[in-house]
Amino acid sequence: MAEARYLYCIVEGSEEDITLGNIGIEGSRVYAIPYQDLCAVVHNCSPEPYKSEDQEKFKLWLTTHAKVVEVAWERFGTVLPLGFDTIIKGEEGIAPDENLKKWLKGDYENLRQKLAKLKDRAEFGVQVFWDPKIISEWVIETSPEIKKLSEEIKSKSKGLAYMYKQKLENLLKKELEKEADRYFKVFYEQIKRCVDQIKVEKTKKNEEDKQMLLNLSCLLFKGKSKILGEELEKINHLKGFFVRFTGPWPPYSFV
Amino acid sequence: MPIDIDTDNLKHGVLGLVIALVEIIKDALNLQAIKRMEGGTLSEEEVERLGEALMDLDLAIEEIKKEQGVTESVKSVRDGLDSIVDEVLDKMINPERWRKESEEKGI
Amino acid sequence: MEPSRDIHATLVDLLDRILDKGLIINADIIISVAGIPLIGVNLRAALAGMETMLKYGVMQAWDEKTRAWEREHWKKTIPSLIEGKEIILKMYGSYYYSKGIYNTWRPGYFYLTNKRLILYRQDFEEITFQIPLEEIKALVMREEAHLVKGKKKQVLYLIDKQDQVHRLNAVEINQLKDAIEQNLETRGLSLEESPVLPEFESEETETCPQCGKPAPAKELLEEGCSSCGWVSAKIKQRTENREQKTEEITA
Repeated sequence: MAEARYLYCIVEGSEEDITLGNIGIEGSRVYAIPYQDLCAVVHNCSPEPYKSEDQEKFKLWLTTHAKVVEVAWERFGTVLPLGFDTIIKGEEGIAPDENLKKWLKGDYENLRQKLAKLKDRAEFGVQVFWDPKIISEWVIETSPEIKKLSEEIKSKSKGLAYMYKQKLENLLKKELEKEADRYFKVFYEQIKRCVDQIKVEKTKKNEEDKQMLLNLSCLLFKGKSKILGEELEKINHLKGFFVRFTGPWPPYSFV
Repeated sequence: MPIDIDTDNLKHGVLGLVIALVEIIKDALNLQAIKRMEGGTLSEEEVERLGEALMDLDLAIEEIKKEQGVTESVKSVRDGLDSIVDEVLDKMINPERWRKESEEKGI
Repeated sequence: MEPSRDIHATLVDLLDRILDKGLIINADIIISVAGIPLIGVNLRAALAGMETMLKYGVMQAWDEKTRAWEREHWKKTIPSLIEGKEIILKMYGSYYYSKGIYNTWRPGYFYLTNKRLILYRQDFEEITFQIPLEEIKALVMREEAHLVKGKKKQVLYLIDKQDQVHRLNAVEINQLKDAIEQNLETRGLSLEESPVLPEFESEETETCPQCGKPAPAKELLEEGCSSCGWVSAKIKQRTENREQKTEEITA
């Protein structure tokens, strides 16, 4: 059975026999396979993906993968991280190392360019939420049409009140959508000014009392995160808004 | 895709789906009702009756969800449907992403 | 504002990156990872709590969560109407609740005490129906069409002194009826023998045994089929009796 190589990340390095210790998944020995001035950080594994029904085990594998990439990041300065379970296989007469080096050779220029662009930079996650209740209250107060409607409902009979309430909710929803759009653009511009690269991610519908407006991955110099932090503080201070700031991450979103 | 199916599971799945669809239709009815109300083609008494009927429908659906314990399942279905619609729309507005995805899959 | 690196607080963020992103390599040198997304997503769904579980097929996990919550939050108390009284009969059954366009059979437990008949739904802490026994005017057993085609079910029509009709069903509905009648007898109360059931909405349709066309059950029973002219044995008898009577008179 041919062996395979579990790939964590690509780094710049030309030392001989680089090893990071037994910090890999399932305690595997993590080392580097060089090609010119690039290295692939790997561990040896069997040629099949890591799968498990056991959630705790799976979680451990994932955090181990993340840890190895972090260690490599610390040691080598810049990394091109790979996703979980990227395994290079061997074939008839071709060892996995050969496959790996063939790919590194073929993609060499591309990889070098990426490494240059990512030098000294880190990825940060930015998510802005709002509390729909608080924002709704504000919208009702500041929109004369909606305010008038909500007053009128109080004096109507049961069926009419229900109908008017439906109308109110519809209007409110439209206004909220408009506001969400407006805030998205404002915050996006505000944040874009503080970062090098920015990626818009999908918003998630999770919570009852918080609605995600904005989900961004940002690439910037590690040192500059303070400036970004200050801008985010301003947004976090706004009534009804809440910011989640995570990082620094290896640049998963920018490779 | 292995899914564990037992009667309770199935009930939540099928019932959740059915009620989610009923709710969506009810929302559409509500919209239509509001349009007619605003269009001025209904008398005040008619609006009153319409409102009461829709309100009863609303309550009935809430009761069924409570009785059958499927409130969360229904929410899941509707969120899921929303996500699917979002995904489709996203691809329509952003065909570049679709192309990239199919390239990655080797199609 | 400082960025958070807490592994617990940011696990979902990590998963989003590690499972969906990272450098892309030529597919031909990679071992296929079909099936991984499902597991990764299972994990994400569990962590996020409420992702679209139906889409990812983890209904079971959600089902468990909902049921555990329900068990925890629904109190189990018996209302004072039942507590402490002598319970003659306890039986699972249902009551036909009708309000506007909302009609449904509400299931629960019937409790027959010395004083009254109660239908109680523990999970909702609701007394769906209750009546002091002396308020019962009449009890009539009727056969109605079942949801399952072809099957019939027994429904107990309870008429109270205000001439309100209540429809009840139970696993041993005859037993319930007998028990109520017995209790009333011992108290010297009587029920009307052949009560006239007030007009009610019967949505049940039956099919004509002759031509197979559907028609309202009531119509079929009392007048016959309007499509083909079929009449039930009962109606035939009634008509014959009438004809006989007329003959006798004219003779």
